[in-house]
Amino acid sequence: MEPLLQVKALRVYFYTEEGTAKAVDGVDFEIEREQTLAIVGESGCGKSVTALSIMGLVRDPPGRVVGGSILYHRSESILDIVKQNSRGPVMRSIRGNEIAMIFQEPMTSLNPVYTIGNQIVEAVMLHQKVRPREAKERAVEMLRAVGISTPERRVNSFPHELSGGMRQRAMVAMALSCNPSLLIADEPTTALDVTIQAQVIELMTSLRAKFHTSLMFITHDLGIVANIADEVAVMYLGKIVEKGAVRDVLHGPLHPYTQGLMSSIPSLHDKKGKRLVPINGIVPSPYNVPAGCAFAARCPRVMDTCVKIVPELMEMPSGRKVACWLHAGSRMEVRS
Amino acid sequence: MSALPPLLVVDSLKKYFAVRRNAQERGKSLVQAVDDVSFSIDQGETLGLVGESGCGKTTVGRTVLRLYKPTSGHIYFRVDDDCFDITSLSQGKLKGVRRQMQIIYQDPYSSLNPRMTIGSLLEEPMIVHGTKSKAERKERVLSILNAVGMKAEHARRYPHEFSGGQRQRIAIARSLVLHPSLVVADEPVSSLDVSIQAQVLNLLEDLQKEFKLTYLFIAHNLSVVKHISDRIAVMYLGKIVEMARTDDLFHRPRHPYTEALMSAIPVPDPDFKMHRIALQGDVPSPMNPPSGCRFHPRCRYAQTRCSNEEPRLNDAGNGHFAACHFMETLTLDSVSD
Repeated sequence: MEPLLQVKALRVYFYTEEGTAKAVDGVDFEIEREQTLAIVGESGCGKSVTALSIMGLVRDPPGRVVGGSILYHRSESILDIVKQNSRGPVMRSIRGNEIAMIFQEPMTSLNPVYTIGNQIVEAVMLHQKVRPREAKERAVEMLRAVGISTPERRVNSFPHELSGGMRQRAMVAMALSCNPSLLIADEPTTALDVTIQAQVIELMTSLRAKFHTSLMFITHDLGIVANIADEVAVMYLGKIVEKGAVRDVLHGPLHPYTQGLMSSIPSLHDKKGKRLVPINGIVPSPYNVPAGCAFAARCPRVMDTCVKIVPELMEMPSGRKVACWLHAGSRMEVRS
Repeated sequence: MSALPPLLVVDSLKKYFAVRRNAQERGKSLVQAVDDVSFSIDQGETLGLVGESGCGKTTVGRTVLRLYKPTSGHIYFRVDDDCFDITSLSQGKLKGVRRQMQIIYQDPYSSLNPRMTIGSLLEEPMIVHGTKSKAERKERVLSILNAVGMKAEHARRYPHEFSGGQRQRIAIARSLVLHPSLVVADEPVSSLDVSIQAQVLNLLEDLQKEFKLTYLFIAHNLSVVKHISDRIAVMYLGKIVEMARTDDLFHRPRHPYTEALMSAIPVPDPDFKMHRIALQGDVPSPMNPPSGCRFHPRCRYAQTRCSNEEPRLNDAGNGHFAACHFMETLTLDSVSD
């Protein structure tokens, strides 16, 4: 498979009055063409910051990409996004055009004083050499593609005139209007009701196939991961702790954190009275990351090594990757 | 269950809110937030109230505590052997009954006063209901902190020093410090991360046993509601469309909306293929609800009768109620195998 994006040893730190927060601390992953990678984790694990660094949108100060690379494979060249000036012409031609992003809250990411048509037209005209009339036609066509009824009328609506689900559809339309090769969706359905969430997920799955777009889907909901992704990366406190094909990870989680997440979710098949098995304790502060494995203090299977040495993300014979000393015996080879 | 009468009976409750649609419009229009809702809860039982945003579930919870005055209908609440109609009590009498009914809010970041220490937050309900000596209040604060898994030294700290999960524990402690019989829990875990959510759900179950609590558990997450509830009521646009024991509801849903809601739950298993029923369109405005059955414009089984005639909540046997004209003839998909 051909990679579209390779993130290598990415580190993003935030320098604040309280100290240095290691929001992303050595993250490696790849996104292949026309594949969907889900990044799952709880609040503060660094999943959104990872996405923002790919877009070149980490605000500096206080944030800074302090290490690693983000290799973006364009049609004939490979570009390291980390090395680009985030305000320069190269990034401006990529952002919103080749790599597009959808945010969680559609009400705050759409401009309330412009019609949704204007906002889509703006994105199209900025990146593609088309006349205003063609851009407008493109906007209507995109709104139709995302299942908005009477798009000729809706194109002149303001964001407040649309419901939450429609606004998120309009965001999807805008993000796909320049036919990006990568779409990053950061919790796009979290603010929506379940039936509307199901509609939007179904829509994104079908549009991904139609537009041949790769998708990076950030969520905290393992249920959504099962529905949309090919691969999943589980993040905890700035690091990927487990990565693999969705079916493998959800059917047989290797890392105690992933196992804990799975047992924390009430299942529809549980008998009444079955107790949930939560993860003890709370996530440590990113300003004060413990030595050794960041999960050690909450881990039910913690060993001496865990509190001393940070486990690397290791590849198992099955091709799965996990950062845990429990599985150190069965890894392929030690990476020096 | 016991031969005791129910702890709470809600009878034909209506709550309309008057709103102005825009600045020019003089006449007021009404939002029918809750429109003719009836249910009861037995002592020690958990009733789950589930529905999407705007369906009126929070309004039901708040009206039950008379934080809103109902437009019409009655709410009967039992304290030992006395039964009170909450809707017509004077403010003075209401205060006495209120100590038996408490609420936990969704967002522990806004429900705790940032200027008060945890100790004074927990003490305040006892001061308001003014019966206790200072020493006794302190003792109760410590014992309730212990019950929710917090430490005695936390009483001197402020809310900002705690994480979301810990704050929700504090909010739960505050609601229980007066030993109420009924607790309305309004989305108590939906702002928490999943690992913390499980801790709080377990805590709520433990406390229910320890203090013999009755819960009205309001949530939009059907998996969570299924986990904690003995019975579930499903709301849509201000009405209860289905109500049943938890197992019955999931085994054999009787209302097409319940079926669609269940099919939309994301299940964390890529091999679990449930036939997803995509509901068309959005929830209509409660200002101008559809005629007949309020669900009919989005219902895949709708017939002409549905747009003309409003279905009543009928008993399908075994305490399973549904408001659908065709509940006897429809075979709906269920989640349970």
